[in-house]
Order: sequence, then C-alpha cells, then structure tokens
Amino acid sequence: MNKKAEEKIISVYWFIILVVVAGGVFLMVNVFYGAPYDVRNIEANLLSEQIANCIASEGKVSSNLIDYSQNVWLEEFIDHFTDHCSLNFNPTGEWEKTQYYVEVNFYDAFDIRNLILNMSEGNSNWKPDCELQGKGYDKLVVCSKKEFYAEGLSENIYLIKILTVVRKTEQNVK
Amino acid sequence: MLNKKAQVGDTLTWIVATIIVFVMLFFFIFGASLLGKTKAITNFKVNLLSKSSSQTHDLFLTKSLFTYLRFENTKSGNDLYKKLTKLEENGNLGEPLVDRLDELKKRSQGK
Repeated sequence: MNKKAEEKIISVYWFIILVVVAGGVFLMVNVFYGAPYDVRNIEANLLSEQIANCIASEGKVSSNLIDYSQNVWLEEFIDHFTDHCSLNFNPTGEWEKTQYYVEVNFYDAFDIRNLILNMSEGNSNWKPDCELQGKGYDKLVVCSKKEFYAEGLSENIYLIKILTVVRKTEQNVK
Repeated sequence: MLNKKAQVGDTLTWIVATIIVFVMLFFFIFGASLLGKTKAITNFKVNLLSKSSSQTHDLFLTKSLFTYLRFENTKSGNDLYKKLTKLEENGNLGEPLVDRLDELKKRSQGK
C-alpha cells in the first residue's frame, strides 16, 4: 500500500475514534447531570413549617382557628384550612391527582389517646405509603412527621402532630 | 515478506489501541452512571461542600418552648418541660433544649 492511501485510512480511523470519544463524553455528562435532585424532603418540611406557622403562633393556637371570645373552634377554617394557610394542592402539569397529602391532629398534650381535632387535605391514597419501608419503597412518597405543643381552648395544652406527604416521584427520582 | 510482517504488527497495535479506547470509555460511562444517581437534598446548605445547615433553629422546638414559657412555673408547664426533655433524649429535637430556652428567655427580656 502506498503512503498516501495509508494516511487516508488512518485519518478516517482517527475521525471515527474522535466521534466515538466525543459521543462517550456526551453520554457521560448526560448520565451524570441528567439525574434529578430529590427535593421532596425539603418540600415536605417546608409544608409542615408553613402549616405550623399558620395554625399556631407565640405558643398559642391561632385565633383564625379558635374564637377565644366564644371558646369555640372555627369550622370555616377547619374545612378550608389549606386556603387559609395559602396552600394550593391543585394538580398541575402532567398530574391528574394532587401530589400532596396533609393531616393535622390535635391531641391533649397529657393524654395522647384523646384526639381533639383532625384536619386533612389532599390525596389520602399517599398516606399508607409512608408506612412502607425498605429499598424501592423510598421512591414512592416522602413523608414528614412533625409535632409541637401549643395552648388552645380553656388554657389546655395541645400536642399538634403534622403529617405531610409529597409524591412527585416522576419529577424527583430517576 | 518483511513489509507484510510490519503491516500485521501495525494493524495489531491499532486494534489493541481501539479496544483500550472502547474499554476506557465503557468504564467511564459506567462510573458516571454510578455517580449520577438521584441526589437527595435533605437540608439547606450554603454550598454543596459545607457540612452545616443554614437553618439554625428548630421551628417546632421554638413553638413548643413559647408554649412552655406561657405556662412556666405551673404544673402544666413542668409536665410539658418533662415531655420536651424526653423528646430531646430520644433525639427528636433539632438543637439543645436548654440553649434554645435560654436564648428565647433572653430575647423575651430584651437582652
């Protein structure tokens, strides 16, 4: 084979190798940076904090929830507490069902069996998924369980438990 | 004959080089796919390398302590403090109970 033909073949070979290496680098970057960031934990915690700030402040259950002059719970707030807390659970984008579930339970602080009030909103189908443990199940939903104490009716102290569930698996997990 | 031998040697070198390039590419792509798994972000940080969270206070502990301060020096207040101590023992509080209480007391006294 003459030298010119040999050089031609080698340059074609180099070009093919260059394309393969460039393709490989593109694939590597795509695989590495294509993985999503799972921010559902932060989202669930923020949701809990927003609800906690909405229903109690300065150690006392909010006057939006309790009418202290008449010593009664305000049903209007209980029925539409997400609206009052500026939360919007309407499904957006690709989802048909809401991707959130929130449950707030008020217990007597010194008698945990005594449930005083329950408020919930969102898709309750996600709640049982919180109990599932183990590999694979962690992709289903992210749950946040928070609790704190606040003064309520007749100077009683309540234990307020907030459960927030965020699904949004498709957006956050590969 | 000698020329043919040299050509075979050259070809073999190129084939081996090509195989090495492909193996290395496969190795790096596999490594990228291992490292590029979903990254769970669990708390706020100033930057990716910092260990501490930028969120300094446990909001739920603060709310409970405000309630405690309303009932301080009463039986309910003491019972509530015991419950908070138990929560701390079980590792359910985001920061030391006594430190946060002192901080809130100082703040309420305007210091």
